[in-house]
Amino acid sequence: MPATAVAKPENGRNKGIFHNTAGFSTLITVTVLSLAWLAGFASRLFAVIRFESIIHEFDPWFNYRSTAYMVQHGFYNFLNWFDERAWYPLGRIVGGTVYPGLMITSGTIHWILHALNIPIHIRDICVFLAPVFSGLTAIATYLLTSEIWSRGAGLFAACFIAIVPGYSSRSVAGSYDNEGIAIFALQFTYYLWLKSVKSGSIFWSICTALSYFYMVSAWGGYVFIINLIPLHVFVLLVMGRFSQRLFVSYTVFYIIGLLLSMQIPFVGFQPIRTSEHMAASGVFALLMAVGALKYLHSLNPKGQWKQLLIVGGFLAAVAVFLVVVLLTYMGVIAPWSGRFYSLWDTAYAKIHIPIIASVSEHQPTTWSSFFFDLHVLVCTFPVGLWYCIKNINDERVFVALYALSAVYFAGVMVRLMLTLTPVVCVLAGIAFSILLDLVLREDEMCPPPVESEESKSLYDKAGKLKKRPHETPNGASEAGLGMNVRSGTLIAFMILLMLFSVHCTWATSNAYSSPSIVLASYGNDGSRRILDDFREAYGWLSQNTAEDARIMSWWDYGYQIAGMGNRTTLVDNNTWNNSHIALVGKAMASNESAAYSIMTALDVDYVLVIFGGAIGYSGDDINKFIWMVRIAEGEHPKDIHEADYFTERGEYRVDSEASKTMLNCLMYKLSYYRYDSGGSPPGYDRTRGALPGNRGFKLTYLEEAYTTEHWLVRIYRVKKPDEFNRPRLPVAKRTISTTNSVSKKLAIGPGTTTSKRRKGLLKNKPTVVKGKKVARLE
Amino acid sequence: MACTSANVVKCHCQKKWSSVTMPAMAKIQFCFTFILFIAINCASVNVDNISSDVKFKNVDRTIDLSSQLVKISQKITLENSGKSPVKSFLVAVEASSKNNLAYIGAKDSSGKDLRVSETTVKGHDSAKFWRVDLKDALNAGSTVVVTSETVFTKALQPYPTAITQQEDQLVKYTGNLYVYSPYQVTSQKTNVVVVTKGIESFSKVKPFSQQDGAIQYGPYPNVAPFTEKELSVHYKNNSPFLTVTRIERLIEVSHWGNIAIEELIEVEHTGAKLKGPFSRYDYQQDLHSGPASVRSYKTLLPASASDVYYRDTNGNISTSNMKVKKDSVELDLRPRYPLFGGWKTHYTLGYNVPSYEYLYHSGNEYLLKMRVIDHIFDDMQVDELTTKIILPEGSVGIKLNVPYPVTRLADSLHYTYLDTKGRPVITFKKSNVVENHIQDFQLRYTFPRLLMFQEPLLVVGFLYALFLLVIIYVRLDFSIHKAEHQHKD
Amino acid sequence: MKYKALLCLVVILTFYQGAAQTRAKGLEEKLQQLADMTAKKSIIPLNFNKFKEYVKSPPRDYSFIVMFTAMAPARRCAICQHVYDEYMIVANSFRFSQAYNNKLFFGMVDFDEGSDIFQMLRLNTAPVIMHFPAKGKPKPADSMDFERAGIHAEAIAKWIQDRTDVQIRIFRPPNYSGAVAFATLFLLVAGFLYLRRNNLEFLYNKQMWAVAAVFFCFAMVSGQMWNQIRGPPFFHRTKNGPVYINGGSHGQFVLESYIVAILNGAVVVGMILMIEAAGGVKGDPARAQAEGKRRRFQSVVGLVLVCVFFSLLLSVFRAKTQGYPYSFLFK
Repeated sequence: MPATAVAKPENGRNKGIFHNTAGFSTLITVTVLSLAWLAGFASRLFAVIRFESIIHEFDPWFNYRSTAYMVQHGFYNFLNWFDERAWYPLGRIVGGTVYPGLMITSGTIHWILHALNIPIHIRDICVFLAPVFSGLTAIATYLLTSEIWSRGAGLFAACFIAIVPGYSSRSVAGSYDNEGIAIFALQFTYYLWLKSVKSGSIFWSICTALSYFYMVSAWGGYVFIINLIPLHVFVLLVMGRFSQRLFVSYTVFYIIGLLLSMQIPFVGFQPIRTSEHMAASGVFALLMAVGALKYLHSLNPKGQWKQLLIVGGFLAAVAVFLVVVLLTYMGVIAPWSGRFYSLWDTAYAKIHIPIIASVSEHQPTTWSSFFFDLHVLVCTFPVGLWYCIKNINDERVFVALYALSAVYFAGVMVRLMLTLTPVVCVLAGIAFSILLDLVLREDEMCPPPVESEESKSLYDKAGKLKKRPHETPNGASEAGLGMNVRSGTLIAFMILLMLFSVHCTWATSNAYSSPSIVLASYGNDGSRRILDDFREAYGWLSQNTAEDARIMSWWDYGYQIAGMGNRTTLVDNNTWNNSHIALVGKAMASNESAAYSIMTALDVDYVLVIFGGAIGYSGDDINKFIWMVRIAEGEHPKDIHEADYFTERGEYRVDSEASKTMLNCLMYKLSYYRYDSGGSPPGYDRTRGALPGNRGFKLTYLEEAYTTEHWLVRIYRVKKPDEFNRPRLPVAKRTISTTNSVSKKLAIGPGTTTSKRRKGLLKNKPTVVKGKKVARLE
Repeated sequence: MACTSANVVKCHCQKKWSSVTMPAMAKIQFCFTFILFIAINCASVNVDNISSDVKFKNVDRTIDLSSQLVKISQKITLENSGKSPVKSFLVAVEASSKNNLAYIGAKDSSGKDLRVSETTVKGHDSAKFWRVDLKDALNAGSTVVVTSETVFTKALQPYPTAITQQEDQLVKYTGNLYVYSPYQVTSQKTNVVVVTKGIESFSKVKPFSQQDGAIQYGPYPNVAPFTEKELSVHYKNNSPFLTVTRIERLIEVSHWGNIAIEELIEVEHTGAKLKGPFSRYDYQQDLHSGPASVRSYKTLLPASASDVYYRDTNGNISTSNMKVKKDSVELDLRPRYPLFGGWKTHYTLGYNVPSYEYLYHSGNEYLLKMRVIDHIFDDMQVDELTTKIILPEGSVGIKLNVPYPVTRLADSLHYTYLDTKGRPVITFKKSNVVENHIQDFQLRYTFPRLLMFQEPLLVVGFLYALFLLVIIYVRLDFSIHKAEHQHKD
Repeated sequence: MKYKALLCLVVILTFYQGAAQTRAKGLEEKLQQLADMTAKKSIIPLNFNKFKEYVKSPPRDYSFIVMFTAMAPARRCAICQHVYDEYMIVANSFRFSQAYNNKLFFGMVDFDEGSDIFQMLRLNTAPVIMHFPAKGKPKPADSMDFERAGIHAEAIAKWIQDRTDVQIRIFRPPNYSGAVAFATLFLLVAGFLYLRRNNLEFLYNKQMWAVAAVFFCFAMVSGQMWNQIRGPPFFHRTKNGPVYINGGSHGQFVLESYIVAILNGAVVVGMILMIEAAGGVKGDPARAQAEGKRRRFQSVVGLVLVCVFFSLLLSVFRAKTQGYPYSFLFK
């Protein structure tokens, strides 16, 4: 368009201007960025200040444990680590089933610091890794945005992402998880990609590939990159924006990125064998085809090349598509895995994969959680999007696609709000900077936006710069917006930004900064009581049980038991083996003797349950229990029926109304065994707000080993067969009970038929009665 | 062995040296030291013989069984029935309990410590002997009163060895009814103190009498040397049976006015083991349930201790209180969980003290005077103590003096912030430690004070270089060719 | 106790043997007829006599799944049709599966044919799916509960498997409707483009694309996806007037999400107005005074829009989130 044509001569002069003000603008940029870093870091320290420097909820404990292992035993031993403490008796090949980027990052930091004789414990490095990386993310966002729009917008975006709750939710101090570093890798990869698309230099695209490699090693979300970048290329092709720069950058990036990503043991051959990665290779082939056509056209420029190009490209696209489909049907390429598929078919997980559906962060997103995580950005980023599309260019196509895809995924899954947040910050930053640029254009106060706006004059501000000389102040005053409007706008938007920042602080502090292994309760006088039951229990386990004791608990607590209790667990938070989890769920859901046979089969030594009834802790096992039942039913439909755990009216309750099966299942008994505290009346369950229906029972096969101060964690020891405290029985009964337990033993195997048939025989009795009744009926 | 005795020597000469001021004495001093060194170094052949003219005129013995330790203090009226004055006499410990002995000491009537040194006697190889050197020789026919104090660990056996949560803990003490001594004892009385009323059984040898919480034996006239007769008491003892199985005490000296102390402590309840289940319900019913269990204990820190922390591998142990008293800081430590018989816990306790209270210097000469071990809980018994002292980087000429024999381990180096060649670390061990061992050690070393400024200078230099680099980078243009912004609208 | 159980088992067994021998023949022919009917139609339509003969009266060694429904359009039972379709799928996939045997049959009673059956079983709702076990008479759990299980064929099959240990792999007749719709759409677009091939300028109309993109954002951000997955009510009626805003922050109504979308849109429009007023991205300067006035007015309007609607949004959010302290302009 003409603007650029005019701009060309300007650019030289602008660069001159730029060089003169280099020191100043650099100073401002550096200052703002470092302040953003500081603010981001500080706003993530609530948990550390309120409690202590400690690793937060579940997955971080595994990451921490394996990081500690790597620091202790070295990288290669870590890659070959077979963890026999998890998934007993299967064990887990940690090196091959984990994204090592996180551990490597903090391990490297640890190594460097210790080389400098700075003896920082690896725990502290892990705790503060995410806040530190949030600063890097801010810088990456700044770079990305200034590639897309302008440095001013970049500064806005950096400040936004430094404190926005949607990102700090996963990166507060102590939440030592992949996302903490992955978002940085994501943004930086995108920045480098845009850089390489713009410059078309092999150097930048190789950098992109390297950064992509880091992302792959850090987080499973790399699939987002490897689908978004090809999408960008594809759309550019469709828009007829093919260029040598695009060709070079994508081909180089794809090949090197592919090879590098296959170096991660956990990823392995997926990039060429699974559908999630096929878009990239398809686009690669398509790009090759288009490049070839272009070349053909360049041979005879005056031929009917346009049709040739369109038709040829179209045919190529169709061909590639068909090939992919064919390969998928031949089974060369694995179809979409469930987790990804559930993004498209939103009802998929609920029916087929209860273990995915059971996780709360896989639920769809309400508007209020959008607003909670993004506040003012949520209603300003469309403005940025609008202007990006209005004056489109290669990289703005990218950011538009990024925004649209991310907003879709965020809508489907709360968890993916994380991938939406950066682009929202970018676009909102653009919106704010456009507006404040214009508002602040004439007056001299308030340097930063002016500066940024100056620096923006690198490109696409040519018209304005031309006009500036022959513009008289008074002419501006009457023709432009008046002083009042400007200042009013300014004040209003300052208020908005202020609201945003207080909201961010509030959200981070109240919603996202609880370690969840240390609970705090506040008395009426504001005094704080710390409920440290989890660590009490895990400490007890680590000190007072046998070194090789096997602890059975629901999978949520597997990582914590391994990390803090340092004991063997049956199932844990990487839920790779559904049937094993279902077996544990079945044990929890069946009655004591049946459970005992399962537990002996898995030779369990201790059972750990979480019971919040005494203090009204809602996240306890009884509330999760129905998921255990569902998952168990999925694998053992003959033995476990979800319906049995509800009342006749289909309610889920624990009081005397509750169903027989519920009142006698292991989980129930272990939760309420000898539970008589918890306020008035004694034995009142504060979480469910009910009096347990089955009380004062005895346990035959287990005994209470330890219960924490507030009853939150209860640990039971599984008795050895020789120490049942049964009452004396006559020989006859003993024999029957043994046969009984034998049939139960079979019950875990395939042969449940025995118990079934006995049920059938009992059913038989009523038929006789019914026979009579029918007779009377006729 | 050699190095142990060496320490002993040093400490003694140290004591004298501090009293002696005239440099002329130095030589003699040295000879004395040397001789003593020889004497002790060949302790195996160091033989005393039991002089027949020493008699114990009267022994008044108190066996304190109220805690987990057995503290025997005997007030000995010593009589010299011979012709020549007597410089020293022997104290013996019977073979059965010599391995439990943690501490032995002797005071004279004015409460001054007398020097006690180990020795042996021909013909009595099973028993252990100590020679007590009297301050001034005991002339013929005269008497002197000496109080000897011995502390035994692990001498009380829980019996039964396993109890349920609600039961009381019964322990059994087996000892010697008579004073075990190499000399004729003319008359002796024994007073066994068990604070509780619940005495199951005790050996009855007339004359004896029993008030609540105490049993008197004797007086028994004219008991021959080395007479043994079993004395056994089986009684209720719910006092905490806590053993510190390992403690590592780390003292880090900084010349910027601070001494950091960190103790890694492993505690085990070595009383009667818990039998059967633990029931939180019963445990919450009243405070008296689980009588043998330990809910918390008090640790006394120096009055000037500040920023105390109490944590374990899983982070802070949030259940603890700190009271600052005028002569000490009292910590009320609650382990994460109550300790029943056989249960273990471990924790790290750390605090800072200002260095001016413990670190004296003249010029470049420094003297560190601190406790080998500090109070952990009352009537503590420590199986293994390791004390490490980290001195500032560059300190040389290190001389260690300890009040009692310890095993000194090889020195090592410790690297921390901004260290270049590492800080010297002095390490020594001692096993079977009790409260009576809370005594000061002395550590002299030389530290050139200019070295204090090494680390600040390092930081300054580094920052200077950094800024220099930044300036150079910003000012100069390293790009090979001018990048032009091509931009497509 | 166990002894007693065994004893009565033995008794019952012997009794049942006898019974079986006496009535074996009747059973045979019934099975035969049923098999024939199933061969004709995988769901056997039942009237009163058939119902009594095959379902109620012994001898039976097969279990019967019966759907009671009211298909007649006069009944205006919308759900019946859905249930019927799903039920049909189950019946078919049982009939054509290799697991097919004479132990399980599918029947159906329409209210208009067999209202007396409804009376006999005291049914006053439709549709109901009941299971008549081979032995014994139906328990409460033998009538399927649509509220909890849902009406999907999978759910029905699962329920059947619970009741009778017959496992049915649901085989849905492949549903081409999606593909067809997609294809037609594609063809339409293609044809449209072909017709407009001489002037495809409108494809380069950024305005259009921008509007589309922004609207998509509004839809997503206002939680339409949540609505689509969770299917909340349009709005909630209570005795004291309708409620448009769901009280909890974990739920929302359809109308609520529309309101939110509109609020967002208003803010965006306001901001765009302000930017355009101030000269737009290209920053073309205002020439005449009149235009200056227009711009001033426009930007004031934009400012008001932004502030008012954002604070409205904020207050709605505040109403939903307990203990949220901040607000702007409105409480």
